[in-house]
This record gives sequence, C-alpha cells and structure tokens, in this order.
Amino acid sequence: MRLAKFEFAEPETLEDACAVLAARAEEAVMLGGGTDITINIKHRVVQPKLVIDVKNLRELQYIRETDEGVAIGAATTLFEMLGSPLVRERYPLVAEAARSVGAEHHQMMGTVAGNLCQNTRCRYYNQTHFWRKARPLCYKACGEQCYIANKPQVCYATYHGDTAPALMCCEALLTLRGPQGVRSIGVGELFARDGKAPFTLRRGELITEVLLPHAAAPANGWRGDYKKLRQRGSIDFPLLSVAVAARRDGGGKCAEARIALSAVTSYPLRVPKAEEALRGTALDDDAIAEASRRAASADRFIQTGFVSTKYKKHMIEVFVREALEAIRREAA
Amino acid sequence: MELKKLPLELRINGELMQTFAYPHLTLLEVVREHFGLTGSKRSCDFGECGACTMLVDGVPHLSCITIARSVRGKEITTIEGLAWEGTLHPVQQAFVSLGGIQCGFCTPGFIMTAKALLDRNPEASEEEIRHALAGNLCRCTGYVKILDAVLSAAKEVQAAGAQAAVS
Ligand SMILES: Cc1cc2nc3c(=O)[nH]c(=O)nc-3n(C[C@H](O)[C@H](O)[C@H](O)COP(=O)(O)OP(=O)(O)OC[C@H]3O[C@@H](n4cnc5c(N)ncnc54)[C@H](O)[C@@H]3O)c2cc1C
Ligand code: SF4
Repeated sequence: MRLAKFEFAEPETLEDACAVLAARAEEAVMLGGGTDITINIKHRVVQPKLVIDVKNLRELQYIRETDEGVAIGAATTLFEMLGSPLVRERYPLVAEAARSVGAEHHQMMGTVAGNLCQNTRCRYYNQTHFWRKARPLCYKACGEQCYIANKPQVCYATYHGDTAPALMCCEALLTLRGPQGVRSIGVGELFARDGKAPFTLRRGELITEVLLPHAAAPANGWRGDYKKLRQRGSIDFPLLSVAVAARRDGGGKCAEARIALSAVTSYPLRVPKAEEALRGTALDDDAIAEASRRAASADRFIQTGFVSTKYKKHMIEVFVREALEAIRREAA
Repeated sequence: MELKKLPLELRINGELMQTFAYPHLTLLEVVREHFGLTGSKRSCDFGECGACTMLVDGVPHLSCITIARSVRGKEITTIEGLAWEGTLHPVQQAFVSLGGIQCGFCTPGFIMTAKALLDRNPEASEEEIRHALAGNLCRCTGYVKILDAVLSAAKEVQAAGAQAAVS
C-alpha cells in the first residue's frame, strides 16, 4: 500500500528541526524509525502534510553518562540502547523491555522517542482505509462515534509501548524542547490519559533526551523484571506488559517497589496500591500475593483488542507474582 | 501545496543511483520501481513480514516502511549486491544447498537479515540466529531448514575469517 503524499523536511540540525516543527506543528509529524508512523500514514489514519526527519539528527544520537545518570538521545535506536553496556548493565529492566519490542528489525529501526510516542491502538483504528470504510469513521479517526464504548466523542484506544513501563519503574526523565524553551518531565507525565490525543507534548515540542537516573541502578539496590504477553513471541505488540522493580534495605526488607503496566488502557500506568502492599515486607508469599491481586484490580481496563480484560487481569496477577518472585530470588 | 518529484540520489550496492521521486515513496518502491532491482520483495507492506529487508549501513531495515529520502547518504545493500563475480555469498549458497528455500518469496529478506547478523557476529549462537530471524516470516519451510542454512553459513564465514587471519 502506498503512503499518502506528504512533503519531507530534512533538517540538518536540531535547531532547524525545531523551527520547521514550530512553524507547521498542526500539519506535521516527526519521523523516527518510522515503524509506527509510516504504517498509520499507509492506513490513512494519520495524514500529515509534512514529515520531519528527526532520526538523522546527529545531536539526538548518543548514550552517555552524566552526573545525574545515563542520558540517551531521542533518536538513538532501541537496538543501540539495549546493546549499550551502560544500559544493559545498569538498567537491565529497560534493556529487556527494548529487546521485547516487535522483532529485531523494529528494534534496529525504531528510536527511543518513537517508541514512547507511538500512537494508541484499537481494532477499529489500526485497519486499512478499505476496512474502515465499512462504517463511518470512529472518533479517533475524526468521526463522531467510538465503536468500543458505543458513545460519541470518547476514545479508549490502548497504549502498547513496551519501554514506557520499564522507564516508569526507573522514574526516567524526559527533556523536551519546543518554541517555549526546554523543560524536563517525568516519563509518566508524557501521557495525557486520552486515547485520541495520547501525549502531553505542547505545540511544536519534541523529545530530545531520555535520562535514566543513577538512583534506579542495581548499585543502589534496585532489582527488576519485565514480563510480556503476546500472541507470537517473535514479533507481536504486547497484549500485556508488566515491569516490576524493587529495592531492598540493609535488613532485607523491601524499601520501595514500583509496578507499571502497559497495553491495558490509553496510557502506561503505575499501580501505587500494589506497590504499597510490598513496602516494609520481606517480599514474602503473602505480600506478593496481595500486591499481585491489587495490581490486577487497577481500574480503567477496557477491551480494544482481541483479548478479554478478564484474561488480562488474570495475567497481570500471574506476571506481577512471577516478577516479584524472580526479584526475591535474585536478591537472595 | 504542490507536491513535486525531487532529485534523489541513493548509494545502492556500491553504486550511486539517481532518480526523480515523490518524497512519500518508500525505499522499497524506489529500489524496485525506479532502479529495477526487484529482488527485494513486497509482501505484507506493513513492516510485519521481513520479505523487503535491505541493509542500511549494514543494519536490516524493513524497506516497505522506510521512507526513501530518510536513507539518503547511507550505504544500501539489497539481495542483488551479495553475489561477487558470479559466486554466491555463503548465506545464499547455504540456502540453496540445504533447501532453505521453497517458494522463495521470503528468501531475500531472510538472507539479508542473516548476512547482517553474521557480519556483526560470525559466532552467533542458534539462539541468537533465531532471535535475529524472528522478524522474517516464512509460510513454506517450517523454518528448520532456514535455521540449518544459517548455522552452516556461520561455520563457513567463521572458517573464511580464520583463513583470512592466517594468510
Ligand atoms: C510488526 C510490528 C510489531 C511491533 N511491536 C511492538 C512491540 O512489541 N512493542 C512496542 O512498543 N512497539 C512495537 N511496534 C511499534 C514500533 O515498532 C515501536 O514502537 C518503535 O519503537 C517506534 O519507534 P520509531 O522510531 O519507529 O517511531 P516512529 O514511527 O518514527 O514515530 C512514532 C511517533 O513518535 C513521534 N516521534 C518520533 N520521534 C519523536 C521525538 N523525538 N519527539 C516526539 N515525538 C517523536 C512520531 O512523530 C510518531 O508520531 C511494532 C511495530 C510493528 C510494525
Ligand atoms: S476506542 Fe473508539 S474512538 Fe478510539 S480508536 Fe477505538 S473505536 Fe475509535
């Protein structure tokens, strides 16, 4: 299938890219590896007049250590990131999540920022124009009605990013650059909790860097595990992703735990109630069972794919339990 | 806004190739339709099956979802660029010798992915080969003979490497 027509901007510098984006933000999209956006353009669900190449910006391709942590340029590919000793050894949870994205081809093409900013998905949306033509366009595709909720003007399309939950467990920070300057946000703040407009990026803003803070590294007692459910282990998007990290204090008690889920609703989410169930415990079976139950009872689940929410909830419980047991084994 | 064809220069299999193309064309479309190199296959056309795999600076890319202009200035390798003076690349030869091919449609993609893997890691284990090839789908062979072919090519490449180191 052919891409819909667009102009293509080839900025040489980040400054040029920001200028083009600021001038034409309403009609432009950015191109990272293109493994998400080009497919949506082929499907005609996204129809930009201008595509701005940000993947080739050298200024956005790096992995380096700074005083605060390990800084990753937004256009670094997932493959470069997961292969870097700085990430692999200090943030194995993030490397594991990146390694589970699509197949190796997607990891080699896809960028860190593109993975975070991938569009939300729904069985009525990620379809060809021909398929969708059978009925009026749904709300996200600029129609009126949501076919999942059977209501007008709502959208529950699901976020399927794999790296986001792992980055949330590290409390990673994002640097954003836009017409109003540069700002830093927590990775969780990137998500607008809206299926139709999933991100909080302001007009003309782009991600320039992802920072993995030193505090989240194993050297500071953190252990993590990543679990992913998918139809085919080889290439598929997650039906469910679960990232878990826990830090033990000197006495072997769990000082802090973080649990994040993806592919359950329009944004990746932490589940604080489940995290609290672990604090101060020895990660014993009872505490793990309670945390797993609480994680599975997180709200706002809605079925937008082919797997029932009941099954997903069951698998959240299984994954959180397995991940915590693995962390307990590793710590011991 | 008027959309125009623009001059596009790509380096393919070591040769500089020029054309005029609309900016929305994919690498696969330009390579097949403008340059007549039809070895890379158009199959799912949505980045799911790997049949269109080409190497961009040695890295496997799904050319059906790669915008051609985004790889300007890079070294592109297609299946046509592998054989050298009539001799097949060890990966190609292994696919032929060990029956890693049935209908043949997915084959160029598999070979490009396998070549890239062995270039960066001639010692790749079976597990690593399986992981690298996960993005290439085949509906005929059942994958066993493909895996055998890549394992055998890996031995070949290692032996050639050892010989080169000696001489
Ligand atoms: C078969 C298949 C399987 C897949 N499986 C998975 C999977 O299992 N898990 C998963 O997470 N993803 C999966 N994906 C989706 C995709 O491959 C990855 O999410 C990939 O990391 C996207 O990165 P990209 O650079 O290619 O994004 P692009 O497609 O280039 O961009 C995605 C979005 O991010 C925006 N963007 C790009 N750069 C920036 C920036 N610097 N600042 C702000 N916005 C930016 C773009 O404008 C676009 O809207 C799959 C895709 C396919 C085709
Ligand atoms: S959740 Fe509703 S509005 Fe959103 S993509 Fe699906 S059908 Fe469309």
